[in-house]
Amino acid sequence: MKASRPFFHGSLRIAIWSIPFLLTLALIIRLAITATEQETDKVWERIQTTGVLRVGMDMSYPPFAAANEEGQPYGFDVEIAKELAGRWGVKLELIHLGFDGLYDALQGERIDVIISALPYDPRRADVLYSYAYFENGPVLVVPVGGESIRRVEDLVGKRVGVELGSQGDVEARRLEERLGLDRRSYLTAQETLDALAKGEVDAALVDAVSAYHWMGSNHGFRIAVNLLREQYVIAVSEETSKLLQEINSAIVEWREDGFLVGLIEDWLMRPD
Amino acid sequence: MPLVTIGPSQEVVTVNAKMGVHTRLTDEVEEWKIKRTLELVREMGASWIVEVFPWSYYESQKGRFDWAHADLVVDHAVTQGLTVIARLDFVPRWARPEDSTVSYLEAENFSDYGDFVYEFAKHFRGRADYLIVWNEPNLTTAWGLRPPDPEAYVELLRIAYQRAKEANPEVKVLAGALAPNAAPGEGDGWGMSDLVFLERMYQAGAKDFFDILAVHAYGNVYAPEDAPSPERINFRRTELLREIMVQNGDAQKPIIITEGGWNDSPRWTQAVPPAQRIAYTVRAYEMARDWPWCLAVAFWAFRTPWPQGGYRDYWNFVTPEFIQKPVYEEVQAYSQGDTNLLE
Repeated sequence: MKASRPFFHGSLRIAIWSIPFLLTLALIIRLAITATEQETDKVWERIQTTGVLRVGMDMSYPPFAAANEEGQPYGFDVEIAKELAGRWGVKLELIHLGFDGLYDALQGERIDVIISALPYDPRRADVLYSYAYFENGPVLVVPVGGESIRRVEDLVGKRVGVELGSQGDVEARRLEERLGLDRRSYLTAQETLDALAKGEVDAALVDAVSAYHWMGSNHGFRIAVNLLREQYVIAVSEETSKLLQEINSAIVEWREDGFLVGLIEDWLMRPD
Repeated sequence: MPLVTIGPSQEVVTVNAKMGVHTRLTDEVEEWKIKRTLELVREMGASWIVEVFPWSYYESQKGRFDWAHADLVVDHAVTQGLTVIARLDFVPRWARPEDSTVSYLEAENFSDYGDFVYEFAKHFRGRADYLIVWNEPNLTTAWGLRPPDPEAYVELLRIAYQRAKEANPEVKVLAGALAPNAAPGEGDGWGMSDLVFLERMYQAGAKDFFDILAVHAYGNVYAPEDAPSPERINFRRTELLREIMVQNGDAQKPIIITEGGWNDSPRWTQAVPPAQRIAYTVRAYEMARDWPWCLAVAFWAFRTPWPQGGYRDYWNFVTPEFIQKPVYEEVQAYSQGDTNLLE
């Protein structure tokens, strides 16, 4: 009688035992390739070699970026760019571009990064985006204390002020159908928030930048809900994984050490 | 059984029969989206649409016409009770030199364009009887990257007019659709002043070759009531073009605003805040009711098939995902008799 053969035998058994080894080897090779890719990030290398970080920025969008009468740039994004350049020990070159020309400038290698209150755009596959450093979009501002509004569902039957035609207005109209809230329109975000202060409405649904700015000089209010998170990010070209990694590291640190909160206080909440 | 049917004939209910919009259905593939877009136009209270019908799409080879997509758009529009104004441009490859742009057409090929206009007018007789000859010919980019040439445009207009009338004597031929351009005199590198271009059109004999002047009336950052001036781009610049028509003995000829309106992008210097955009849009529609020489006002742009990116998305009344913006709802309220925004 012929002895039955083991299921795995001879060289096949060796091959099976080899799988973890091969996977490990493949991982090591992949990491090496990734490291090589990072090492050959030409944009990062150029920044290091020339000692210059070229930042594309639309300087017509205060408080994120603008220029004073002497032409000196200032704002939230300018501080972000300065901090990055300082961190890397390179000189900062701010290149003023129209908002719609920023991506073309990046693709054309005229700039190294875009820092310009740039909303994350999931449709773009030709650039890499950093982690968010600020969240705009419509937010619900309510008084501190008093009757609690902690979530959208708490707006049932409440008077909600909106800036006519804004994204907050779009959201309020949708909620109006779903929740039966009482939508009240005003011509500007400022008027909407002032109506909240006067008690004409129970909550104001305005963009985050307007909310922060107004709360800088109107205390006793808080942001209860951020309805649509419009994330402001930094964009780099596709081949710049090392540069992106460095930017993300900085943003993680800034979140932890309070730098970003400080920028909100300094640039968005300070009175005019 | 088709997934989407044309459906029963509808009527537009509105207090202002001059209201219109420029749709962007040329590249809309799915029929239900075409239908839904046009339903929303009707429900907003607009009776007119302007749509682009690219020559290159429908006659990709000389003499071979494929109207399938255009039929879809026109049939759905007509069923919704809308009047279609067709803009005809975009030169096919076979009618222009290699490496030229879609707006390049040599005089020797004007007759090819005339043939296309003839076939379009014949095919859509009774369904799309308003035809715009070219688009913004006073711009370099719209004239094959060459300096604008009013006399050459009039020759193109003459051929298109005669061929359109051969196909359908009832068709209305719209000339111009000039880009508002405040550049003085013969203009800058980008184009020629619309006022100068129109005057030169008349000098070249354009009067006999169009039934209606198409006008682009963008409000820029100004209110619709802002006074007209040659140095200013605003809604009432339309009146300056009208004056040139009157001076040239064309007072009886109407105008249709085939593009225009206000943009509410937060990131564009030529935009206005959203509340202003809403108020200006409603007031401009209302203003047109007092212009007896203005047949319709079609604002740019009702909806695009996909996001355009940047400020361009802030012309829309409805998003690509069919979310109705507040401007849509407020215009709709106006068309149903709400006068709040007129006060």
